[in-house]
Amino acid sequence: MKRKPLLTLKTISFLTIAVLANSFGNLLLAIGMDSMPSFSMAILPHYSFVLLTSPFILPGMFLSAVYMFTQLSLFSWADLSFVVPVIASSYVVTTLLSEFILGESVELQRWLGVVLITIGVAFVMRTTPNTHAEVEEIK
Amino acid sequence: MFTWLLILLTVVAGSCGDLFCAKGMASGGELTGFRPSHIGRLLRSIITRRMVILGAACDALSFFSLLGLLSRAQLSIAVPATAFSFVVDTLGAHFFLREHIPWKRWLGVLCVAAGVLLTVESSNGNPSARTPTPAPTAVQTYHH
Repeated sequence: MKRKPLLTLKTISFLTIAVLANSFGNLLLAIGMDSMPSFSMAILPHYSFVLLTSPFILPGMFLSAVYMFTQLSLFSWADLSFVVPVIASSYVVTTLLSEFILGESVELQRWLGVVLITIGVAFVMRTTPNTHAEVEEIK
Repeated sequence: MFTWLLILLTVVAGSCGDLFCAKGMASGGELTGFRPSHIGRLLRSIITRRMVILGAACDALSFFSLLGLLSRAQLSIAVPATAFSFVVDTLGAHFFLREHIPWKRWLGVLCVAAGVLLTVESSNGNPSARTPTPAPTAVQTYHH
């Protein structure tokens, strides 16, 4: 009997969208917030104007919203214990973006963390995304 | 003592947020296409589910307790709490959502938690480094 693949194209696509939207969303928000003036109530109108006209903040917020809704949609067919650790891959993407796009020096300890996360995600990806469906099939 | 209570609240409320959101979405809400009508249906189904709203409230509580924690303790104390939430999420998924957790998934979760701990701890020592965002929470927008 032919074994069914563990991951469908849909699950892989949604996980990829969630990871990339989370990583790039945060990158844009971080860059945008770096150029913001210090917050104080006295300059609230000016602060809001700079926030809303920044070319990074609104796109960053949009990508964060995409991440949030993609993850919620994933919960409707995949296990929480599958989705949450796999989306931790965004730590790996963020580290790569920090090193290669922002030119930050990433310490050895952080690379070690990246390797551990990658190994962990590989282990989780070797399991069935929806264990409820698996149990139903066995029955 | 209060710091430990805040750590506990951050982790437990964050994991409850994930569990409620997952429970709320388990009864449907799959995106079946990328047309505006499909996306609109998904958004409507999300914002009208009590469990998802409860999950969002728990995430908000976790967020504010983390802010309180950061105002009292160093990031190096607050961060391990966020890494530990991967383990609490998995335990919650097993006991409350009745998910079957194979040993490979447990091993993966422990590796991810250890990796996140190392990644964020090293960012803590490097002020110019960008701290990656938490993957765990769906609704929480704070960068752990």
